[in-house]
Amino acid sequence: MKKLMLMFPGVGSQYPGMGRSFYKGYPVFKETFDQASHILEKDFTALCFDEKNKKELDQLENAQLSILVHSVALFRVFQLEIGAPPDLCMGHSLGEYSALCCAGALEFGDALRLVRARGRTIERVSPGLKGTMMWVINLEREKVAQVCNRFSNPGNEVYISAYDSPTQTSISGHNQIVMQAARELETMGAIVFPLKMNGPFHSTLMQQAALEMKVELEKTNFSNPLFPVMANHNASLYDGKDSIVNNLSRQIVSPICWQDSLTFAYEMGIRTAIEIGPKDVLKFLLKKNSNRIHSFSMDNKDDAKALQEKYVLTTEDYLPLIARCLGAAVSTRNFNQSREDFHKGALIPYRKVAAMYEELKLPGKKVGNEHVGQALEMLEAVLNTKKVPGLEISQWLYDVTGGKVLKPSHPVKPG
Amino acid sequence: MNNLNEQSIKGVIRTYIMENVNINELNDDYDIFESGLANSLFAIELMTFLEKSFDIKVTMEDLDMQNFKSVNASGLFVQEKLESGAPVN
Repeated sequence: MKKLMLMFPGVGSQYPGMGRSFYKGYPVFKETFDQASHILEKDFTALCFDEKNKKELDQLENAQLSILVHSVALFRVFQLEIGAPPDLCMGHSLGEYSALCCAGALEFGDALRLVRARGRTIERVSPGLKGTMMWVINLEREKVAQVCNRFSNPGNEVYISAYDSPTQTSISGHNQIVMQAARELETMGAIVFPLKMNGPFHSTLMQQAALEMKVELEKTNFSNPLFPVMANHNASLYDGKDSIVNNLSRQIVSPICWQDSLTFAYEMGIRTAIEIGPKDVLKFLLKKNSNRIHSFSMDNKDDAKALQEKYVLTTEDYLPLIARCLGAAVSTRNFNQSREDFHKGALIPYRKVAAMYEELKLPGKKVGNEHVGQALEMLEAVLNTKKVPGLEISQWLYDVTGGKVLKPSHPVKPG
Repeated sequence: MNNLNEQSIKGVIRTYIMENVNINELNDDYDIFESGLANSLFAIELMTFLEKSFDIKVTMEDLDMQNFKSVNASGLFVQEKLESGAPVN
């Protein structure tokens, strides 16, 4: 089965004007922004929509918060317009908070407070560290690692702080040594891109920030995520709500294992990825890693439209789908010895839907969501009665819908 | 390298940009970043392309979007690199 994952971006993806049209077009998007503005007493609409506020938007705490707000708001639009259930979620650095929030592990208000604390902690701790972070592009990660190992020494440290693709990494450390390593990496063919950030992020030098963040995290209530979520620091799945404090604290001092997370995703069967948040940095990064996972950016109008066509059943699909449910119910082999069970659990439900189908075929009859829902329920019930193996049942349900979903009428709000 | 003139450099750059960004026509002065047509990630792709195509090296000092914002800007950047005879790896 082709699985779906959602990706949530980190700092760098903010841009002036982000979310402006969604705010106008979707009440649920507007509500999210307004809710955030109310909770933090900060005007997110002015911050994100007004080009004049670009400098303010780029300031670390604002960038982090805005991306979180935009991502959660856009997720709610995604649920409304597309609603395909994700098999996996992952977020890049800050994006991990968005992922946890959208997966229901963290309430929106708490996410806002934690991300604000994270921004403030980082901004307070960083200046004293005299460190920095840079992108290293077009050089294999092994070679970058060798250079870091060679140059790094106590007090003058440089480490890999992100593994974004086989030839894209970040390095973080003390200013001078990072610069020296960068020059060396340039001679080896890399393009080195100093980032606007003023700290050795995602390295052990950020220990103090991690300790402070842990205190904040321990004050927060978490729930078990509704969908699987990846942790940046070890490219592994979160193991319930009790792993959250540890994973998010470690994230601050550990390199982001993005490439390994994408490998994990591919190996578990993910073949579609949707970026939920501003811009399309993760979509771009995914293409650098794999051309076997089809990537989309929800922030892009054309992509969003393509996703609807790919995932959402249209009314034209309804009647043929019901017919397929009836066909599947009949054509599967029966392993249930009990005639009584079969009569009650298969024959009766089948006949009910078959009769409904005949009626719906009559001119002037409108086929709705609820009819499709009934047909799918019937199929599942019949297959269970027939004692068809569970995995096969899932496959049948996937096949009759063509992997598509019924547009939800009552979307579930995260957090 | 010496027989590369201004027009052929720009031609190569123009073709690359048009093939990778969503447009049918490109004025050589058009600012692809300001217009939102391309983002900073594409800038890196462009730099990589220029390095490979013209055998030049883009260093940290060169990382100003102004150098790559248009066909003309990129063309000028490449020419200056070639003329200065800056050593490559």
